[in-house]
Amino acid sequence: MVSSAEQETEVEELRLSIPPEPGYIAMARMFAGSVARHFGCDEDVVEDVKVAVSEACTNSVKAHRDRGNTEPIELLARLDAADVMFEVVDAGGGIDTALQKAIADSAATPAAGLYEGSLGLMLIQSLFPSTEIIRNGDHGTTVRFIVPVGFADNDEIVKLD
Amino acid sequence: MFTAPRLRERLVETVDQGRFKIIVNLQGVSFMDSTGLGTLVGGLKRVKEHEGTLALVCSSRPVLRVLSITGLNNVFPIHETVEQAVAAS
Repeated sequence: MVSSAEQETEVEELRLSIPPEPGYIAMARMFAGSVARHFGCDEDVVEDVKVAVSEACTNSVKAHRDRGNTEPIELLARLDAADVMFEVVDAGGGIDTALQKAIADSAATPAAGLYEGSLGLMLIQSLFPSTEIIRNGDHGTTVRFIVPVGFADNDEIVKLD
Repeated sequence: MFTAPRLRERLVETVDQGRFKIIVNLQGVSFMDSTGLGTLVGGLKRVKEHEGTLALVCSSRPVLRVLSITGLNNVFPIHETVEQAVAAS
């Protein structure tokens, strides 16, 4: 499931595909945490990445279920100069743009209204303000966020596969 | 998303049994996402309808961080141990 596009010591892109089932979200979370740790993020950031990816995958699983779509959800991590970009790409019905705008415009915290739902995107955007939510036409949504990384010594890089 | 339905079921069951002072022990929980938070908020709403309380026992840093980001740390009483939560209730 995990593939490396480059040589072991020059990994620039890692991908994971998961079935759109709740039981696989933990796997996506572990993958994202491992990647963030691999690229030198400190443990607090690793935890934030795990939360963000978990939230994005939860939304994607719901979106696929709503459509009866069994296509996989794709998780991509791409290393740039000093950042790692994470993307969760689904093929669900696409995010409700009105809801997206309401969340972006809202200064209220969930505590203010004691919301039970729709907390996921707010959490991702709170953790990573650069988060982009891109509607892929009529074929799903991409949630993208950027994480600054610190590099450990290359000798400490752990092979993921 | 995977385990939240079980928590929701247990909270509903507890309220249906007429118990409105609830302590949720999160000490064994190392990760919580918005589905779990939403479930706790749902439980809080239910006990509040009966003037009850819902307190959390939690010392996990990642879980506390998520509660803090969402402002829910100001909504739920949070204790480090079950004993402290019982004493405060």
